[in-house]
Amino acid sequence: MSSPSGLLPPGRTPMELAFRRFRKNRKAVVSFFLLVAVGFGTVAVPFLATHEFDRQDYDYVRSAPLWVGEDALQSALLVVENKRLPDHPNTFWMGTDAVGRDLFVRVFKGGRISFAVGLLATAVSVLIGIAYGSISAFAGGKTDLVMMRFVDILYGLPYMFIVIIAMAIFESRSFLLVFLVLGLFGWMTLSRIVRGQVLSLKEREFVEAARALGVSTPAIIMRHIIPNILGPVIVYATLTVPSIMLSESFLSFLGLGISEPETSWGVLINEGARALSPLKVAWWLVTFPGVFLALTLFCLNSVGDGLRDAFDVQQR
Amino acid sequence: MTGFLLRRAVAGVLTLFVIATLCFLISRFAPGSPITSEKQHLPEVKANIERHYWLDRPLYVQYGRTLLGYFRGDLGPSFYYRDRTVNDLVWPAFRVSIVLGCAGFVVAVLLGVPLGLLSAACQNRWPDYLSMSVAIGGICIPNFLLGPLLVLAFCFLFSWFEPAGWPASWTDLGELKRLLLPSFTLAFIHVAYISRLTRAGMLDVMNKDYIRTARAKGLAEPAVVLKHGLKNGITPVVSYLGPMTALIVTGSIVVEKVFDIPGLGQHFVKAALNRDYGLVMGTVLVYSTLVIVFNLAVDILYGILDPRVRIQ
Repeated sequence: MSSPSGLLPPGRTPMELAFRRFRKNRKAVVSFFLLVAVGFGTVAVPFLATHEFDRQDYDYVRSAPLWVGEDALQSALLVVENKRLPDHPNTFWMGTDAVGRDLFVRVFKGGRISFAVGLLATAVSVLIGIAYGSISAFAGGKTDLVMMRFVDILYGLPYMFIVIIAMAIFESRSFLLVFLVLGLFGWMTLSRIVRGQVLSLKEREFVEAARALGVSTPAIIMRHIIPNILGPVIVYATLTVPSIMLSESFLSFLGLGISEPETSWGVLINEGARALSPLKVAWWLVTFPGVFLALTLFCLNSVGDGLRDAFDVQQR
Repeated sequence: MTGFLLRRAVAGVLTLFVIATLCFLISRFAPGSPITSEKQHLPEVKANIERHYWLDRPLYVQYGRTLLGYFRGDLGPSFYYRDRTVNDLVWPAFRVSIVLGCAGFVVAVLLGVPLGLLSAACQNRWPDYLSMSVAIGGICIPNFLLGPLLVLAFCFLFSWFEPAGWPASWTDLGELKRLLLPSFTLAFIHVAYISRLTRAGMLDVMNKDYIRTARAKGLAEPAVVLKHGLKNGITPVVSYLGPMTALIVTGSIVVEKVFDIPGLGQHFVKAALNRDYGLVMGTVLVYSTLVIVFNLAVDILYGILDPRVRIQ
């Protein structure tokens, strides 16, 4: 098959091969498009919707979604009264919360924050992880030892506690703080992965060749090392996003994360959990944000698993 | 084995030391604590407060006394509840939390291992798919979502359980029922992991030669699986129990909030919101000690179960 003079079929980069394998994984591809849809929704819906996310409608406080039928409302299990005002009908697809705000818009608005925190914090931790891991591997010797011991110590500390304490120290619980804190304490695993990869890569012939040609160490890292570790980094980063979204929701649920007037899925689930009272079971307040969070976590994990299978060298 | 355990114990003590030092530094320098930014007080009052928290001494004396206090089991004063020490607050709550944590631990193992065994025995049939869906559920339904959903379903839709609270007595069955939902919520994600680990471990082991020998000598299948297979197949689960302790501790913070259980997690979150650094650090130290001790216990268990570890 091999032809001597430029008649070879165009070569495929490892990226292209991985992409081909990923495309064959139906679950991962469907999850990917679902994610894109939810992500697009979180950006677009708050603009397009007729309700403001913080507008309070006192005629419809804790009111059920508009499609919930009269008989269900009358049933003994879900004692909720939906007003039927002729000139002011219920227009809330997912109902309203305890102060009469539209849940539909809030779910997407909250999703925007959850997604943004997940992506930005992952970006922060990936950048730190790559830099730390590759510097440690390239420095070698005592520096490497000290740097990795430091990672070991950070590993030994309980992650969630550190984050909670950090959130407690800073009074303003802004969006910026949440993603910075989550990102700043989430890079350790990645730095270990990167270090391991770089340690094996830097002994390879093409790096030696680059060095022999007089390329400086930073240039070698940027040009030759980083493109080669991109696969595992992408896989790990994709799996970091759901875990950071989970941490953000966890913090917000405890009241230590995103705070009013901003909202996130964790905040909404917390509000929903508190709205569960025997007097009026406002089931929609916890169910809808919960479904969106669960769906997103599921999709992110399947995409991550799909990418891992696609990039996994052993399985080829 | 002893060398290994000794190393782990020393590493654990070192970690505790680092945590204690961080605790001290944060409690002295973090903004907004009653110590660093006190309201305007009369000079006498101020001096009194400073004496109470040893602030009139040099920093290293404060540090030494704090560490000595930790060493003797004295967690120091609470910064928010002025007339209480951290010990007063922590220990009653600790008793509640340890019961909850152990219940979660037991539920996770008692549900996870049989589910994994079942799905390994019926590979690619419906029990296997059941445990697979539990595993997927564990990944995408976090405990702070599962808890409210369970409350919604089992406390309001069907009034089987009380939505909140902690058993008042340990002999009354109706009271003990209150433990069920919280411990299941706490255990759910670990049921998922343990069942997958058990399944993988068992599938791996059941193809080994010694299992064929056991079958060939005419042993009944349950004996083969439970006596010969399980002992090796369970090792991945045992190594998961260590990290699981830390996760159960974090999970219990949420579960205690959802079900309004008067445990350590409630104190921890309230202390963080009140910036009661004394109490925050006390709870963190108790939690960290617990996790480290549990990890050590798991290591010992691992050594008992797998003699190869002892030789290394």
